[in-house]
Amino acid sequence: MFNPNTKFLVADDFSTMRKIVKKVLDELGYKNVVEAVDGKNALEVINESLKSGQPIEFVISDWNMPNMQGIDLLRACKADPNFKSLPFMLVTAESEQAQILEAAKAGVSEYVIKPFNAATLKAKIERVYAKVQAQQQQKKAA
Amino acid sequence: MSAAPKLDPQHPFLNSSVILNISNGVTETLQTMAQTEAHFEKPYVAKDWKTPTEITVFLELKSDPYQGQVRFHFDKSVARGILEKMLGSNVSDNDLAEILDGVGEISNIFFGVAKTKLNLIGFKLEMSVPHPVKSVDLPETIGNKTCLVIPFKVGPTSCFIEMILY
Repeated sequence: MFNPNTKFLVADDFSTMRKIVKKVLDELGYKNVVEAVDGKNALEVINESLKSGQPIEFVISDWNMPNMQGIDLLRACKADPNFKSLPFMLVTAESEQAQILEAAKAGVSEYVIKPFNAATLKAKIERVYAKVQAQQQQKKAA
Repeated sequence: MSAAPKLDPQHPFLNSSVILNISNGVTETLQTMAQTEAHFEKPYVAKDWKTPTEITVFLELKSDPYQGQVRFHFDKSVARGILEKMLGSNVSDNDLAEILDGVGEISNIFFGVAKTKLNLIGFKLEMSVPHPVKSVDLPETIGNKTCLVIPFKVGPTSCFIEMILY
């Protein structure tokens, strides 16, 4: 698993979903979790966290949000050198093939389709961890 | 003698696939997110129908050039019970904002599941933002005021899906 102090950002316009995701993170031992109510707010939090010296290390975002959609938040992160390698998970009711491909093309780390249970979300977070580890090992080896 | 309420049988949303996939979206979501069973009853067409429930979430049904609205109606105690199961903690009966937020999210998932399955069979439904409200605050609908009502029970309590076709 990631370091227990890993700083997570959970972005969703529904507080219920933010609470559900936070509860799963808490069960996994991750207590350092901040929230955002939409994509625009999430981008502000990501930028402010970097400035404060405590950067966001993992984003879990809804797709369908007002102001800025999750997919646009993902693209904004991938376009910024500071956040290009930031692990980014989309949790969404959007499960059509075209949308999954769009997210993959934008560089999403994992994709969780609603409805989901806690075990699914936990497994996906572990898969992102495994990917991050593999990338770090590749960099070391290069 | 008054005429029985009618919906245009040619309307593409008045289709067994639409009804089945929306019902399945409710069943699957409640089972997965809230370990709750929903038992569906026979749908019926009604005119000037008013929900007896306290809480409603409405979403626009858009598939150019057709439009409509789908409304999920919940008894407040059912909505609170679903939310408590989703969160794994108690929710105050007085915390209407939290209950509305919870049913808004779960209705968003109902619709997302149905939309995905319907678009696989040729519908081109667009994503819609859910609007959770007190049922008494529901906006007036346009059109001929005739709707399709799909009742379902959570435990002993009746909830409803209402489909309004423009």
